[in-house]
Amino acid sequence: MRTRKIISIIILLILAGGFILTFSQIPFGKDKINVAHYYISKGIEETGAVNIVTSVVLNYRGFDTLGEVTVLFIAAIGLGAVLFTEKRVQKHASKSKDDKTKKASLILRTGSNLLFPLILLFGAYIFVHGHLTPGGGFQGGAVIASGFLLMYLAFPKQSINKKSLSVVESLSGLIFVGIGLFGLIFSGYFLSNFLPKGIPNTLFSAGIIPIIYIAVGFKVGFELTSVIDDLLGRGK
Amino acid sequence: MSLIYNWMYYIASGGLILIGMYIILVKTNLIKIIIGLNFIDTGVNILLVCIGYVKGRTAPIFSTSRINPTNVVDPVPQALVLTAIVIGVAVLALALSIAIKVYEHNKTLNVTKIRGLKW
Amino acid sequence: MQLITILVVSFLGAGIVYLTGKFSGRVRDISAVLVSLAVVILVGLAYNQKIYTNFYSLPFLNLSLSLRLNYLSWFFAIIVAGIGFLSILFSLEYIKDYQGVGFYYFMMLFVNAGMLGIVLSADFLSFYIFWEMMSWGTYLLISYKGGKAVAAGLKYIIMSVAGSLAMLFAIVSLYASYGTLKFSSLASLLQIASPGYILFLLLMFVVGFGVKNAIWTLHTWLPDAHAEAVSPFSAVLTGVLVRMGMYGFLLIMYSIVGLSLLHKLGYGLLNFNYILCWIGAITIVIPTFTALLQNDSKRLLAWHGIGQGGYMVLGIGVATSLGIAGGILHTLNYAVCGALLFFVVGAIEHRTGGVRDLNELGGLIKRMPVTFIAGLAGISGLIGVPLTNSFVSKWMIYKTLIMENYPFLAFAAFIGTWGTILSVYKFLHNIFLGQLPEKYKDVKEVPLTMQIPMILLSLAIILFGILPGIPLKVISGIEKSFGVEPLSTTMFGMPKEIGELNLINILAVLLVAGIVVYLIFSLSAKSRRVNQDDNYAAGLFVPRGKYQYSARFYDQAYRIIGPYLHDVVDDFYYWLVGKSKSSFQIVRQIYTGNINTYALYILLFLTLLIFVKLGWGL
Repeated sequence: MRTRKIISIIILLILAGGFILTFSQIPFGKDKINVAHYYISKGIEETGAVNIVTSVVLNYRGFDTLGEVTVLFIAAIGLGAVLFTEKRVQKHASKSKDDKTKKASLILRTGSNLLFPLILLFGAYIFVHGHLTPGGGFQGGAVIASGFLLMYLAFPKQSINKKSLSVVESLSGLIFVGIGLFGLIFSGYFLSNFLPKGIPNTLFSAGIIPIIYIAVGFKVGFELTSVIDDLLGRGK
Repeated sequence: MSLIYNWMYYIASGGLILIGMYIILVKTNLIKIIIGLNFIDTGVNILLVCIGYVKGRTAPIFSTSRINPTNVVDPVPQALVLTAIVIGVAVLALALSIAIKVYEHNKTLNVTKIRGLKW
Repeated sequence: MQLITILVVSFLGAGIVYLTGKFSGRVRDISAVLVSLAVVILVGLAYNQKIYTNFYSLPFLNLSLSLRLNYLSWFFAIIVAGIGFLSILFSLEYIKDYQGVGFYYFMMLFVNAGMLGIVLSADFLSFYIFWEMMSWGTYLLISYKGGKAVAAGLKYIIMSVAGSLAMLFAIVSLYASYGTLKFSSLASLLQIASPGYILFLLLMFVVGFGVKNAIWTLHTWLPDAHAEAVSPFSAVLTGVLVRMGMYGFLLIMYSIVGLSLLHKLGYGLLNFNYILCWIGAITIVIPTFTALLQNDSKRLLAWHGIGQGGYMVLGIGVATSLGIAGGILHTLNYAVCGALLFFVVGAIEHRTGGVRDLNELGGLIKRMPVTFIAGLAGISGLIGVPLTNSFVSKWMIYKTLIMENYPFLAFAAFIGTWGTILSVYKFLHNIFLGQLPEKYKDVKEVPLTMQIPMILLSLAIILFGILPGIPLKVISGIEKSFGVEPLSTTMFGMPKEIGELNLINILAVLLVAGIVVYLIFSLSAKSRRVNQDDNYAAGLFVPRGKYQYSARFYDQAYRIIGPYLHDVVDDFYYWLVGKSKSSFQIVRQIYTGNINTYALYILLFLTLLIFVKLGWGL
């Protein structure tokens, strides 16, 4: 074990030297903007969203976002598939040992009862205003999942209806692809921004971007919740 | 002072990457190795965002009229990192599920005792 | 007519036979026979035409696939088509009880088509494509029976792939040097190449074709492959497939490199042709005597196949007009005799339920007379009795060796014939003569479709023996296209200036001698016939065992020469395989199964790259 640590440290020192060599060639804080000149100058009039990051993610590189949503979907399904087989056994076994798990403390229960809708509201605010403020579908979805995690911690015996979770999740994915196909019908290319752009810096602007972000927000939120549910289901 | 300021972020991200590599090389608990993998992910994401930073400029959101196209940092690395973080989460979730299966099969999480990958 | 018709008919015919085999067995059999007959007729119609077609141009690499027909192609194509047709006719009855019969017919026709493609191609790319098709089809057919045949097929395909890779190396270097792969352009372009380069090319091609033709060190696949394959396919293997290596030798040595360049290779006595002759001589002597010691009839014939191949290589290596003609004629003759003998063994296997061991069989002449006559004709053909076709070709080879003053090679050729006589006599006597064992009392003669190929081939042996002018005319055409002085032949032999072979004289002498012997026998007293069981010794009946003196009658010889005739090349290859396996075991130690170690390997490589960047600034 000692030799392994010494060898590792030597290799890591060499790698650190390599890093220093490389990073010294990248001056920190210099103006290296290259591709983004186009996005910054033409972003608002072409997409209508004042958040340039959102317009890059959903409009200029929207197809990559579709791929990312697919990757997350595959991860959630893979998790469910890998951990699937013994869940029925666990569920039957857990019904008999109901009294073993203690109830959570009063502060936790009351606090999470109070906080849960606020967290959901906050998460929804983040993904609805994705084109106006920093944030977007993925961030809002993560916040929603954290709200559900809080409820799992506070009320361990309750379980969520997995079926409705998966229905909403799949529907959101379908909405994303469906909007892309509408774009194909209306303007001739997939995921084109066919709704009217509106006035920038207002809520109803930027065409399809808020709609897609709402769908993505729901999808990610419920996906991460089902992941937590799968992982928690093993422990019972 | 300006040397530390210039190198601070690079040291942070490089340090995270190196710590993640050290964990993968040395630790024998499977969960710790997976966490080390996540460290490397995080370090690389920080590095990517650092590259797009321009000194003295602000976020690329034109919410007020004082922000104009010469005043913003590079938005493209931030968009890429958004995707990268999500993928890091996906990798972490799947790796943990496989670790659960490995534990149920071998009754141990010590990699020196799990010999399934041996030739 | 178009050359591509032949190829299209053969390939499509294979596919059609496979598809009809899914519906009905009878239709498939008939269509297989018809397809192969159609191919024979098409090849026969193409006689005496010189055609060159360019049938596909590759869009990249500036190459095109083309076909051509000249005397050399036609000679080999008619052998391929003929033996293929006869073996499909033979296998109508033979293959009935096996599984996957449709696949068998498809593969036979496919290998046939591949061989036709090889002899008809006019540039190296199509040559290589068809060569590989043929090799892999052969592998599938050798391992058709399962069991030990799979190991035999694996040995074959590994050696064949090694040979093909050597060939590919030479082809790619030709393309890189000259930019074209057509035979005709290469023949003119290679005249000005350096002798070292030509020697390299010839070596690579000799390895590639030598694996197929089974010259001495590359022969180890052949006994196993012939013994374990089904008999009709063994006939095709020994007659035609192995001779594709012969076609390759002729192509590369005479068609492309040319006789004038060959004489310039090497210095003094050590030139390329002479070494090839010596390899051929060793290939004659050693396998023919190894065949003495075999107890399995198919292995015996397989070792003979290697030996006769040595005659062909010897004939080609001598590089006079008589020698080349002798080598090429021996290809045709051995194709006929070898295929006939494998058909005989196949007939015996079919009727006795797969028995190949010579010590078990005996006395089958009473039950299978037609097979016996065919076997007798094949054996005489193999030895070279006057009036059979091998006599003519062996005569030409002996004559040219003596005329060119190569005493040791001529001695080797004579010893080869002597060894052949010894071992094929054992083959014939053990199967047909002697005493019939109890369990084979009611074997019948083979059905008609199996008899027809054997009868046809025996007739061909006698026909080409008496009238050797028929193939010799085509061969002189081949020699003219090589630039060698062609052989002037008559219908019955060769005139006095070259070799003095006039078969009319020999026929007359033998007829007279035959009449004299018959008269002596019929006019003298008859001998008494004694029944085999009507014996007794010292008051007891002699037990009814096996009175066949030729079983194991070479055992004394085996004790003396057996240790020398052990196949050292085979052992060498197995030793090589064993050593490689142990070195691979050492490499396997890298995989320790520990995740930390694997991550260490990755990071080690990364640091190596950093060092490379520091050191060389790449």
